[in-house]
Amino acid sequence: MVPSNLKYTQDHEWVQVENDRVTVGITEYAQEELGDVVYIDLPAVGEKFKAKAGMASIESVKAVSDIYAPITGEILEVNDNLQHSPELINQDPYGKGWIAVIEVAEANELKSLLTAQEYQKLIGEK
Amino acid sequence: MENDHLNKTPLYNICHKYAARFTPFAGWLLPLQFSGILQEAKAVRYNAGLFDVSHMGEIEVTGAGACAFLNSMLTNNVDKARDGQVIYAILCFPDGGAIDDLLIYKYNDERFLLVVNAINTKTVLQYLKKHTAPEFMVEITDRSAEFALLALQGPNAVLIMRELFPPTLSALKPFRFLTLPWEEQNIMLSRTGYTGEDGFEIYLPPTKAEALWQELMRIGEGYGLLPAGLGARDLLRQEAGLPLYGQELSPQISPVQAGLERFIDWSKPKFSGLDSLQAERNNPATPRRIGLISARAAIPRPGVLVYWEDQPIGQVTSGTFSPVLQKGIGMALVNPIPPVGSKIALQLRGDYHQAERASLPFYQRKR
Repeated sequence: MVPSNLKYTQDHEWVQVENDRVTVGITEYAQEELGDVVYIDLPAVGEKFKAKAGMASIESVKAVSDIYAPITGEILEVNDNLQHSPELINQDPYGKGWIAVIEVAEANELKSLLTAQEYQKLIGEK
Repeated sequence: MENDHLNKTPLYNICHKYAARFTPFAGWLLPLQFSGILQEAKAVRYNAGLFDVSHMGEIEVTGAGACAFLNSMLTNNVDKARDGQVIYAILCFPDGGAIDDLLIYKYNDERFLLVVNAINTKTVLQYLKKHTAPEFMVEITDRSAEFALLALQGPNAVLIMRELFPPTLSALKPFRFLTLPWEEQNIMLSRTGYTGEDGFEIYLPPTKAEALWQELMRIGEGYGLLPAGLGARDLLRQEAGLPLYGQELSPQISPVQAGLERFIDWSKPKFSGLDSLQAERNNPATPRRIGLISARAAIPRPGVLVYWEDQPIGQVTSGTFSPVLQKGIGMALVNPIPPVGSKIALQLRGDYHQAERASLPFYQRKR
């Protein structure tokens, strides 16, 4: 269930690294735990975040969760479709439910991300 | 493992089979959701949903003075109920704070069944026992362990029930109940619910609960029936503007504050809390429950501060996402009270979100 080509964070986000930019979303495990997503507060393009700073929040019927910037950098793109169809996060967390693209400011931070294997271990044998 | 101390209902195993996610609630381990809260809520609004609410408490009050005794305790007047009728009332402390809100099933003048919130069963039982006097000649018994409780809710509920029970059941009016034999046991069917939809609540011996669940699910297949959990139940009751004990009613929140005055019989000479409730009713500073609709889908959560004309006027008590309105909705306890339609603001995570004072309920089914 955990795609092997992606990196992960302790906070159940996935990170797809392509040269100096990363695409960020939440994992299948996270969307399953959250339940029906009804609202998402996205960052603005051009906003800058430090690694582990809250950059977005996802609201499900059950709870609100913060999405943290997995690395330091500037927001290059956000998934505007989520404004009207937040359920994409539940339906396709690794695809159409992507949240934002960030420009990598400090490449060494990428090393601290979890591998698929490490993430799988974190969430247990689900 | 951390849930080992929690009670399990007679339907725990079957709910587990139906892939429920469980949550601790009032000392019980109850299904929070099955297929998903929004999908389950939709099933209840358009088809039907089946809930396990066996955690609810049942207290029997019998005896020659049962009517007089209950009238000396409860806000509503049980004399208004006919045999076979169900009425809603609140039990208050002398200071007007709510001990519980409950349904009263009247078999006859000398026999009643009170259905109470699981978390309050003991408190209600103790309070009633403490305040009974010999002249009432009543017996008060906890019957909670003798009942499992299923709620079948939604426009198709009656169609499903008609296949299992005599078709005359369709004639059962809202807030009426009857007892029927089913598989050699007596079960009690009542046209009540907590979702704002038509539906039934079914009280039966715990040993029969699983069989009935399976039978209803089997018949319900052709009627879009889904098993539904506490998550959907909470969403649906909020759309229907119904209070939840612990949120909109509590020892600190009286039925006057909760806007439940139509369940208070002011003409009764005496009942627990009357004087305090009367004083609150006449006090313009008494906070009141209002409905609010968020300008967007952001959900007002309990504790969120409500502002009107830049002044804090109170706090949110419950909130959810309303599939009917496609917006965040909630209830709050406020004073002063903004007129319906007023622009108000909610302080959500540091930001001010626009909202509007709304009238309750948010949703009313077409009859």
